Amino acid sequence: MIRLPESIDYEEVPIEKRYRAATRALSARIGALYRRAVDEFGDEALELIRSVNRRHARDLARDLCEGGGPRDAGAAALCLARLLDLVGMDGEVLELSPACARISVESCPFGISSPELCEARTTLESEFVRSLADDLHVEIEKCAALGDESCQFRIDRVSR
Amino acid sequence: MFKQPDGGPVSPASVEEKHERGVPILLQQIRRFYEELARVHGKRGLDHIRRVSAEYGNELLARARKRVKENDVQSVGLYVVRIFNNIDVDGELVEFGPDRVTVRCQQCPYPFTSTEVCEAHTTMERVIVEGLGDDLTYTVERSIPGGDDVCDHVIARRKGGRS
Repeated sequence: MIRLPESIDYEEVPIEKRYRAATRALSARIGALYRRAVDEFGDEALELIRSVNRRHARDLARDLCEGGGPRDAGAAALCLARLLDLVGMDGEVLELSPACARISVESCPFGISSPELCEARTTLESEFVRSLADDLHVEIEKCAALGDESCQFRIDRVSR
Repeated sequence: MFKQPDGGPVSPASVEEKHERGVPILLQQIRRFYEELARVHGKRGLDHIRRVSAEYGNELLARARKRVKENDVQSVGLYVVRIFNNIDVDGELVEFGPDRVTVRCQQCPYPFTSTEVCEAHTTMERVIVEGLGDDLTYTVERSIPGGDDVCDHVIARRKGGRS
């Protein structure tokens, strides 16, 4: 926080409001940055978005989900849901089992309406889950960018 | 909030904890993309960051105009403080005069490592400040990515402007 001299009249904003404002504004800014990058640089931008999100996801998986515990679909889904919760998204875990889990996100906070950009951006979620266990596969079952009412991730344990 | 199948929250974290841990995740996501854009596309990448930051600043300007009643240096300076407080920037107001306000930040929340990327990104703040008062300026006089130990964000009246 920026410390102010007591003599200055400044209306403090409650933490709940600051948290909502910050996560919404930053997500919107990321969305705008990505959309305009695709307008300007085309497929090159999509590849850049994928590669940056892959690296970010691996670091997040290490930072947020370190420690023991099972690395099945259900555990990975909970870990992913905690990440989405931290960055201010609203949604729910619909199904939770070791073999399969489903997560629903209420709306796209990035304001993305193109399926190609959605696929590139959700590299973050896919790579995050794969970083937890490489036998897990993520599929985007529903996509608000494609006209669905919400976004839905399905996580399956695949046999190798 | 994110719910479990039984309706309970997925995380016991308080809103303070969520702010402290969640906001930096988004800030780092922005910084990483900027750095990659600048590395791969050079000046074109930086121009892109400037353009999108300016567009975003202009979007926020309409809201800022409703909130900031007076377009003097101090009122606009406190609006910048409000923006910084939303993302929990650590710092202090070291100067609060009628012609010049300085917000000193102890660390960069993103954190940027390049002055070019920092300059391109802070186009948003510049557009908001200069849009709120056409005789106002916004400059980053000291910059951590530029090698200084703090960042000084200065909102000032243009020379010859109304006091």
